[in-house]
Amino acid sequence: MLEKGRLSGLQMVCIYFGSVVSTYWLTMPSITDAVVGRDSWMTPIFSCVISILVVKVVLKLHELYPKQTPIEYMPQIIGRIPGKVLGFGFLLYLLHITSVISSEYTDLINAKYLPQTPSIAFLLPLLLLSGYMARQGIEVLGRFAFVTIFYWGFIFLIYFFLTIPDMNIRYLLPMFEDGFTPHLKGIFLTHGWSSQAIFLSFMLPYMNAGMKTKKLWSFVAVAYIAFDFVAAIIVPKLIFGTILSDIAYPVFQATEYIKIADFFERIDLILMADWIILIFVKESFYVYMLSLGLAQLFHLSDYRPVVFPVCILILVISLWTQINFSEIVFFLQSDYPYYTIMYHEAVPLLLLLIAWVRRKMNNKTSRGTHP
Amino acid sequence: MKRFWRWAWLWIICSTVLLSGCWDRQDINDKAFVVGTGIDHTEDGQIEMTIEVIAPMQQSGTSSHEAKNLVFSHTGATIADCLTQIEHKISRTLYWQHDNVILIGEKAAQNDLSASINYLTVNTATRLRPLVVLADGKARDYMAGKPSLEYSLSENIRELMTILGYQKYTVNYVLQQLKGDEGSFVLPLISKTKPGDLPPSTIQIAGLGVIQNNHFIGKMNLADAALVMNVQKDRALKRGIYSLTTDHGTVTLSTENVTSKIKPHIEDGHWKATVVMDYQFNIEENTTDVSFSNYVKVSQLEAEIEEIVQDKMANMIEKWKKEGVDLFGFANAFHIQFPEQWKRVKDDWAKKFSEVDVEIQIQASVLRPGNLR
Repeated sequence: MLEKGRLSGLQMVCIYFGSVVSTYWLTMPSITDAVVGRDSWMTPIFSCVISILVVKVVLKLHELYPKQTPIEYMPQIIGRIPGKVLGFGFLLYLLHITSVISSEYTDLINAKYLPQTPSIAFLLPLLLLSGYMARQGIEVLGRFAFVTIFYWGFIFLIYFFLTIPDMNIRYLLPMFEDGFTPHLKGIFLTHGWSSQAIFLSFMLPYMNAGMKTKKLWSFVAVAYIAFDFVAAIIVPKLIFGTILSDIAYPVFQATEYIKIADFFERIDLILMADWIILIFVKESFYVYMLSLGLAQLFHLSDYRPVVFPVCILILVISLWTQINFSEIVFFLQSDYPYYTIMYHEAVPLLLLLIAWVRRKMNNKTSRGTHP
Repeated sequence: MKRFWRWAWLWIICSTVLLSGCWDRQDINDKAFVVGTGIDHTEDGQIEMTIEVIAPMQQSGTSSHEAKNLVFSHTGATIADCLTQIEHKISRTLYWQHDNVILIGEKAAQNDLSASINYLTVNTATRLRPLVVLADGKARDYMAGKPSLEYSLSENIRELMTILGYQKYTVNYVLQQLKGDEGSFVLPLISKTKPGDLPPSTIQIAGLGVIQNNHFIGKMNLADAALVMNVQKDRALKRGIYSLTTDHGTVTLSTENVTSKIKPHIEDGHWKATVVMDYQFNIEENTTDVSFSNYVKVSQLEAEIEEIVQDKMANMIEKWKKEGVDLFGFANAFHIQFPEQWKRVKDDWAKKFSEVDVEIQIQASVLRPGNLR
């Protein structure tokens, strides 16, 4: 075992929360709104179906191969060479996604907060810190996420209450104007986010609990994320109404809009500082998954030596792919839904089917020989 | 432990190098804070941009002169072009976060309203909070004027808007209304006081400007403005003063609170809307010999005022209905109640609105007769 740390259920939920919500908040509310329209805030509720399916698959696979991550059980299910190739593909996918995350992060900071700073000046510290965090292992990351996300949730609640005076409930009416069709589009558009539950499979083996508790916490994670997706869309929607689809960074611009009693304003920087914590959790978790997966794929004795090389790789790819904002939005809008089908849904489902079939066949053959 | 200190020293040395950060510092007195912008269209199709900046000064001794406010203007093809030119006139960098007011000249609003606020919505340094105000005439003339009480003219306009309850007319509001169901909306309109008034040539709220399909098409006075804002359930702060003149004198009432609701109906393809409004009045002035401590007199007064408000409201709605300008939110009410039918008329709402039957139900109550009965 390369990882000796242990996680609690709540810590797992916190890591998962940080790793999904942080980038969802940047552009997804407006992208969802552009496709679904007025009812966009309901889409995350419907796409819970996908999350639940993915979690079920992940849990079944985890039941079959406890104490193993996908990288480890892939070769066992579909054979050594195909399994390794598939695992390597998964790591490549993770590497690309991590560099896109880094690009999104630098883009936000460059666009809104530090326009004149070269992006490497805040990308490098983030990657150094994430690498350091990844080296400490999943347990430290879990505890960090647990402590900070509670603090963060408190701040978010304060922000939510401060935006109430600017909200207008009429922006949500009429509901279901175009029936359910836009929601189907919306579910497809956001399935790459709902199905990120696949990354729970990197945490479940290190959870210090029985199968029942693991199931419970996995579903808690899904429900919590769905709730937060709804909050991330509905708060800007109630403030910006019809123009939400045109807004670049909806949640941040909603906090910019706060003005209470004519002097309490311009407080969005506090949320920004908080958001850095979330993106840090996300980046650390992805760096951790990448380096652990790499070590497991090539049977290294320790994953720690590969952490910083992986960070350098992410940095380089992120600078290569440092594309403009429109390209990021276009990627998330039109490529990401297709891009994620393979490793978020198709591969786990196929793995589970093959694992089941193999188990059935093994049982049959063993029954045949020993009646 | 030794290893820890080695790394710690390295860390401290590295961070001191990074944290010194003096080579491109920008102090507060290197910045010019934009507090208001004015946008005009000139006769030859150019754009004239006026900005008011506040420039904090370095404190020297006991001098009380802490900040200067100055007005800069330039004419160019686009707003961004004007701003670049203005930046060449200012010895400081412009800082946009404190921009509170966007004043749009009459001509600019008539030509293209959304183009006038576009720069401020695209620029990432600005927020969607600034108030959008229409100017009667050229915005530049207002920006160049002298504020009466506040330290700057933009602050003067902002205070005026906030105190009188026009603070909902932000950039966000305008952007939403431009994409809204009605296609038309109102914005506050300022003008200068009449020549004889005191203080001379001071800014005042003249009423509301009517925008339809992104063009400024008409003005309305304060009395009509109060009615429009009442339908929209805006905070009515001493707005809407109604006088009843009898043989013996005048009773003047002011609105304390208004609630309103638009109830749309569609019967056999016939579109109807009922505006139900509940007014609460205070008596401001009473020069008649009637004492309103008598509740019978009060209910008579209520009945009379209901009639007056009803007439005024009906006249005004009729007037805008003829032109197909929906300032009251009828379109949105129909959209919410009848989404299916709405889809068929939404591209042609201006025409449809002129065919809608509008019924008005006013309920008035006079709360108290005042200190001295």
